[in-house]
Amino acid sequence: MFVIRRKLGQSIRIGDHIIVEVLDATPNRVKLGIHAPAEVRVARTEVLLAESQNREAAGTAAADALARLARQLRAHGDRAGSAPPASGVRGSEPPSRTS
Amino acid sequence: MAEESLPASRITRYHFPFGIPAFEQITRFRLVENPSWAPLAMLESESDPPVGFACAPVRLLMPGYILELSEEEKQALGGADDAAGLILLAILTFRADGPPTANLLAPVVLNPAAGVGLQSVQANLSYSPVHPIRREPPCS
Repeated sequence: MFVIRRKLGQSIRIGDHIIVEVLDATPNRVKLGIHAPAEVRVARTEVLLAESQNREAAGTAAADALARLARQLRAHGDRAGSAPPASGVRGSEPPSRTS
Repeated sequence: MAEESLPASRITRYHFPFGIPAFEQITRFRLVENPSWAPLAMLESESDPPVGFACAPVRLLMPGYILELSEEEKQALGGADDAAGLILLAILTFRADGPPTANLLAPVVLNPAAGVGLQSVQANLSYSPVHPIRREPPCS
């Protein structure tokens, strides 16, 4: 992996047409500006992972497999004393915070 | 997913303004909850042909899950300031060669009050897109 240090406002060039500029930096986060031709796709790594996983997940659940897994989860919930809410998916709110 | 022997399902329709990753063109989905599948559910597109995803409540799989929503996502969800009233689901992948997995990296977030949903891709890569779901042997 090529490693290079840059300061706020500085940039790097990749090939002839892609420029990456450091727009902002905090101890926990870096904001980058990316100039690239329209045909070059720029995406967060995790978005590409989500795309790949969605393609793989689509249509994989047969009704019997779904019911079998549901029974296992219900049994596990009963044993753990935390049976899922009667309405199924509702009541499953996690804590949230602003990014 | 229709099956004649299944009891009646509850169906709730949602608008996904951004679609979901890899299916951005699909903006209309319906959540199908059937007692036979509880606590699981099916998220089905209203496109032609339809695309279906099995889902599980995220908190059931990971009780301490922390969701981070961007301001854009909060606005899209109808101005949700916190998770109260939101439904959080993980898309499941069923595999022939192993246990099913859940995508905790990109949960589906639904606001039933507004009829809006989206898939929120988290930046926290400690949440796996292929979180294994323990498969236990069937009871005898």
